[in-house]
Amino acid sequence: MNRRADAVVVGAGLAGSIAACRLAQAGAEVLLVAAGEGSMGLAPAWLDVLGRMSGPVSSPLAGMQSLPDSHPYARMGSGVVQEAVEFFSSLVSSLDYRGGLEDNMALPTSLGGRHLCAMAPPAMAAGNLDRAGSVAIVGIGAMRDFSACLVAQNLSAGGALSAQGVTVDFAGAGADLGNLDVARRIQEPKLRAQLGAEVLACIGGAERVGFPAVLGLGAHQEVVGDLERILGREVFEIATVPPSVPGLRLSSALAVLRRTLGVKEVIGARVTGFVPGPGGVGGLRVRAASRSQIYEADYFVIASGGVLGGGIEVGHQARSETILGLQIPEGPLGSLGVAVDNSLRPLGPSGDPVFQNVAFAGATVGGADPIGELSSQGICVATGYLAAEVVKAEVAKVARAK
Amino acid sequence: MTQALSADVLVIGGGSTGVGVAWEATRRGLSVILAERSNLAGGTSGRFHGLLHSGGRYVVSDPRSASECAAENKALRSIAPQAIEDTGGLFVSLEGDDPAYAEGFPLACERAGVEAVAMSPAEARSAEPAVNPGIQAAFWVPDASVDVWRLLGILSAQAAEGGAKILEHHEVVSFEQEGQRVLGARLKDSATGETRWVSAQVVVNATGAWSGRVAAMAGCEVEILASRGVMVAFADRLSHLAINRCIRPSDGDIVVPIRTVSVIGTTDVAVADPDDTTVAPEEVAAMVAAADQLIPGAGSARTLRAWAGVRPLYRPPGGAGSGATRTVSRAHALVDHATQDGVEAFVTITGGKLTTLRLMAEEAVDLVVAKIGLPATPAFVEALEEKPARPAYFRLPDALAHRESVWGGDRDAVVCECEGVLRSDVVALVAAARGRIGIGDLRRSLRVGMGPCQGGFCSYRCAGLIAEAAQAAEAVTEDLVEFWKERFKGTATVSFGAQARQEILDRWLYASPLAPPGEPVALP
Ligand SMILES: Cc1cc2nc3c(=O)[nH]c(=O)nc-3n(C[C@H](O)[C@H](O)[C@H](O)COP(=O)(O)OP(=O)(O)OC[C@H]3O[C@@H](n4cnc5c(N)ncnc54)[C@H](O)[C@@H]3O)c2cc1C
Ligand SMILES: Cc1cc2nc3c(=O)[nH]c(=O)nc-3n(C[C@H](O)[C@H](O)[C@H](O)COP(=O)(O)OP(=O)(O)OC[C@H]3O[C@@H](n4cnc5c(N)ncnc54)[C@H](O)[C@@H]3O)c2cc1C
Repeated sequence: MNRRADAVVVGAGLAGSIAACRLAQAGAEVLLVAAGEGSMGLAPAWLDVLGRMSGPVSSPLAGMQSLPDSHPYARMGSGVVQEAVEFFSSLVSSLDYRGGLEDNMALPTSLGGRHLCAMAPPAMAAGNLDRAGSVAIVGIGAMRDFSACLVAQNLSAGGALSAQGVTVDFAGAGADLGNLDVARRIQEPKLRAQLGAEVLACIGGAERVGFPAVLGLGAHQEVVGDLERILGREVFEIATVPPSVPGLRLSSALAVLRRTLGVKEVIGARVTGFVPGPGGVGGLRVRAASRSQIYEADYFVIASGGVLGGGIEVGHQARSETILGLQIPEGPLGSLGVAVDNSLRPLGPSGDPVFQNVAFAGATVGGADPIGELSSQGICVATGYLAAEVVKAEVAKVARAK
Repeated sequence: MTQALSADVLVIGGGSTGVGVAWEATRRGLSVILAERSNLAGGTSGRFHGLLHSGGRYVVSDPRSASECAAENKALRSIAPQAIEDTGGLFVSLEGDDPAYAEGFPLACERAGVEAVAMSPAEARSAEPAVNPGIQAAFWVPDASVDVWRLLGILSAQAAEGGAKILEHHEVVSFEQEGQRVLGARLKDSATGETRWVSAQVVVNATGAWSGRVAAMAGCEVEILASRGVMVAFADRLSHLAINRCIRPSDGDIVVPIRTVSVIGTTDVAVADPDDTTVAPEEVAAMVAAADQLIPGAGSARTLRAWAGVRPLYRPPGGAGSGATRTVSRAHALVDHATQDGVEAFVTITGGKLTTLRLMAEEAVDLVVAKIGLPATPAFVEALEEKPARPAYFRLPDALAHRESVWGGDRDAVVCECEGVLRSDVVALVAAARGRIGIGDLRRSLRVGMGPCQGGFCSYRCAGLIAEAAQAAEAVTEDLVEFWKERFKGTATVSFGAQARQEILDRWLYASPLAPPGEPVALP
């Protein structure tokens, strides 16, 4: 039996979630299908919009003006990017993102580098390196993925602030802790009180205290609140390698929002191809377990995550988009993406749209150098939002015609 | 200039040949200094295929090499069993391969003294289920795989125990000569930029593909045909036996299982510059296709890295014209420059195989001893009898059992999931080196960074442990970034499928949560 909706969104990552939520808010019936949860749980939850061009970018909004015309930001214009980011902030208002597009903030990395991003949740934003004063960086002995010593020494070497590294034990926790192990344990009030006391004993007069970003999952605010109370000073989180605890907080906040807004979703199902229809695509072939089904809709948003997310397959001979079988223009591995027009419709080799009722969003969209620019998350939010705007307009047209 | 050093023998080159010579010379009571411009196995030896040859590969094309391999295969097994995995190997002939070659193979093996046991195709398939089911003929041979860093580690440690001085990161930049006699050489320390003199009674040039250049510095001639071979590693162990194609040596005719990976090789292309280790995408595709013929399915398996090594093929003066490099003998050559060029106290030992390092060392040291004018001392082979007869090869299950017994869930931490390396392993090495250790050294000793993630996760953990133990974060960070760049060099031509996703993940790691201070990491 086929399933039908106003719009089908492929992908449960940042781009797919933004598109689905925006569409559902506007009253469209949305069906979201995804093979997996996407890469939000891997990436730090700061929101990058534009961190580097030929050098560091201090204002994403200003920097955006000099991007080439084929760049997704240039295609949609900075006004839409701004709307999209505002939409993101209001959508995940429970996470209380700080910052904006005017100025990048510099946040510490797990190697003591300076990461430039537009926005971040409060506990990450509190690590802003442009604020003066001394900081203590706390490592947890058994945690393999964070070295307080590397972070603190490299930050101090940068000269802007003085950082001191300390490493404490997490009582009775064993010798091998991953990010998630710590994030779960620290939600136990007794355990974090003990940890707080240990930290307090060795941080001297430091004005702020940086921890690896493992300060709780669901109980994050309580964890930060308690630690700040025990330590008597501001606490911040430093982005770590995957799994990213702040990324998982963002991912689950968006999953809850999708459900609350009435998005119907099927996670764990793979789209294996499409069937033609009036606007180009009539439906998507979806495989879940051993069953195959067609998901029909008037409009489709494909937010399949590029090479990393599975939306682009890099073969020995060719590089192709996995759902519609589009050819990907040649380019370095980090910049591979589908060529799109200003409405995010995919373009054929001649430069004309090949499908009228499909919009691409997120890391599958080409035209950018997301790793070099530190722009992937911004592109996800902006293209996810724009795809929904385009579809909203189309769905309204269809409704009027009916 | 730092203080001058002196020894009976100066060995130039820290590959399998040079380390073998240093080890053998020390065993015979000589004082030894070894100078290597990078690190041990930093040349061809660290970029080889990993096979302890049974000799079968050369029984038809080069019987002398075949016999030497057969004998030295046994010798190395008893010298350094801990560096050898006794995989065993197969020679298989596929549909379409010349049947006459397989028919003549057993006799050729017998003549060369290479052990080979004929098997029916069905027996071969049950011995190695991964092998192409369409095989026409099969022979079992005593192939094994070698962990070269461990092998050279064992030999150089034994040499050092016997008093040898092993100087890594010391390049020989010129010789000191008096008349027609080499008195020693000038070494440049790449860390400090300082130079120092080493005087020696005899200098042994064991610089492999570079031995022509080094010999020229002493006014001597050694003609080396540099022949580049490409290898591709798969992320999994595709077979348990080494699989050789039973045909005349050709491209992509051997798959070797080494620890957690399998390696297909190789090619044979003459190059002008021994430092030319470029890999062409077509070569990678050809290797993967060749592997798929030996092991069906390999063509779609995940590839991990591609790299190339340069063979030092020796051409004697006035020797055969410039034929194809495949037809040049794989046998080694010992050149006494006194007789060849009239230069005293200088010898070159080159060509050969990693498998024949001991024999090469024996012959070179025999000549050194004669030159110094000492009575001939027995070579290693005699001493073998004193050794316990039971070798303790390394086996993957043993390695895992060790990990489990130490790790046990909460006593230690896993630093490298791909290769099962524990924090205590790293801490012990860092402590032994008093903190003067890089992540590349940890890779060579423990294999961190050699599994599917290519160091994406473990390298940072290692850097943290090194920084905590001793070093300034700045230097450790620099070393870490260099390590990332170095790992990326080998993956560029194999970024397909799952490995392409891995590469994007690693690129994001180094650009985002692990971004170093200052400029972004410039990956190839
Ligand atoms: C370690 C790490 C650090 C990062 N740091 C940063 C950073 O600092 N700044 C930044 O801007 N970006 C960063 N990124 C990148 C960023 O996280 C991703 O580019 C971004 O999240 C991509 O989002 P997306 O929605 O496009 O795709 P994804 O989150 O990858 O989601 C793709 C979705 O599509 C689904 N899908 C794919 N193909 C199919 C199919 N055929 N059928 C059904 N479903 C399918 C997947 O299952 C998934 O749900 C980082 C990434 C990593 C891994
Ligand atoms: C593709 C390929 C696959 C192979 N596979 C196998 C195999 O499976 N089994 C096998 O047994 N053999 C194999 N071989 C052969 C084997 O690898 C070589 O014969 C052997 O490693 C050569 O060792 P070496 O010490 O002579 O040379 P190298 O390992 O190259 O050592 C020479 C050293 O000299 C150093 N050096 C150069 N100039 C100077 C200087 N001026 N001062 C100081 N140091 C200097 C270099 O840095 C280098 O480390 C293979 C070879 C190739 C190319």
